[in-house]
Parts: sequence; structure tokens; C-alpha cells
Amino acid sequence: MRFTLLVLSAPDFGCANRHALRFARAVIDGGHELACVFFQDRGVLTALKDCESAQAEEDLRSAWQGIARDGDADLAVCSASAARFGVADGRRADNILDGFALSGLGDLVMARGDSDRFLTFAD
Amino acid sequence: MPSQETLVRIAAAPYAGTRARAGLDAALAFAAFGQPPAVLLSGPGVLALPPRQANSSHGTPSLRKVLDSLPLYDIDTLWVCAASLERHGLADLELPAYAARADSALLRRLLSEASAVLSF
Repeated sequence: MRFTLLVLSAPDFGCANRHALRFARAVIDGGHELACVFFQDRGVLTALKDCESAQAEEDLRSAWQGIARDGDADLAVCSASAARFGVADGRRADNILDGFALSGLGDLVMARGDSDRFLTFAD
Repeated sequence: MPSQETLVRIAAAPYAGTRARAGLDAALAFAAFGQPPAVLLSGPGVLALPPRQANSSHGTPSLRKVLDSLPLYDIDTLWVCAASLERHGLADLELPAYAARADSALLRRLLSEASAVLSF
């Protein structure tokens, strides 16, 4: 089964980002396919470079990079939201972590059509 | 609503952050790609509906104006949770012409029959 996830919450706020990560890991471990994880609104802060997690706190950003590696999944970052939150400037992706890529909302539409299941994660 | 339609549910208050606007942007993107979704306002999301919202105090465009423009993009189904209207003192509010109130039974049907639900 192919899944697309929409993540709207930042990694440092609430539980939704972590829940999405856990779900993505379960999808991969269960032998399913992760078509796309689309980060929109404050969720784009997941892709922000040079953020350090507090000591003894799980580093969700590097865990998402692991999802991209292990699941061969697209980690798509909404370009409009990225510009709003200072994660990217237009199509320049200097501030974006490896494994993530700037995308448009059209990619969300395509991913939804290409998936059997679509889930939103938001606090 | 056709059973295979995408449903964009906006439950975020219109000016409490950027979430509600992000939901409308997503709905417009689906429409731009020839897949106009149905839109559902529920919870504090119904606060986007009262007309004559002043922009100057919060510095962002009126979301009511965006809602009014949705039919121009072929989004011609706007559902509004009736219980949420009542909870926010808007039970008697005149809705946009293309909008309709949804009771709890209809809400269940909308959510279960949609091909995908995007929740903002």
C-alpha cells in the first residue's frame, strides 16, 4: 500500500511531527511504500538546517533524514511555506537539510493521486 | 458530494496563525490541477465566515474574501459544521450562497466517503 503524509507541525512543538515520524517508520518497516511526506505550514521547519536538539531530546530532523534514506521517500517541503518561515528563499534551498527538497503544492496534489492512503498530522 | 472527492477540512481559527490560510492554499492547488475539492469549515474555522472582517487590525487579508472567491476556481462545495456555528454564536449567520450547513450525520458521511481528507 502506498501512503502520503501531510505534516503541518514543527518538530519542536507538540507531538504531531513525532507521531508522523513514527507512522512513517511503521509504514517502511511494515513493507509498505511511502510515496511522499509533504511538509507544509510550520511543518517546513523540519527541514531547517543548523538546528540543534536539546540534550537528551530526540533529533527528529535527522530521524526524518533516515526515513528518506531507508524508505526511498520524497521529503517534500512546500516552497510557499518555506519562504514564509525563512527556510528557503524562492527556489534557493541553502537552508534545507539533505534529504529534503523544495516542492510546490502541485506535488501534494500528484502525491495524493498516487497514493492509496493519505494522512494529515497536525497539533 | 461525489464519493471520490477530496475534502479539505479547515478547523483552525482564521487569524490565530497560518494554518487556515495554508488549507485554503491547498484547496486552490487541487482546483488548479483540475481536481476541485470540497471544503469543510468546522470548529474555530467557522470564524472565517462573518462578513465585513476588518483587515487593518491583524494585518492579513480577509479569509472571507478568499472563501467568497472559491467558486471562481470551480470549488463549488463549501460545507459548514452546524454545531460549530452554534458553539461560536453564529447560528443565524447568513452563509455564502454556495455554502451549506452540515449536521453531524452529514459530517460523518462526508468524512467517510471522501477519497482523502486534508485536515488543517
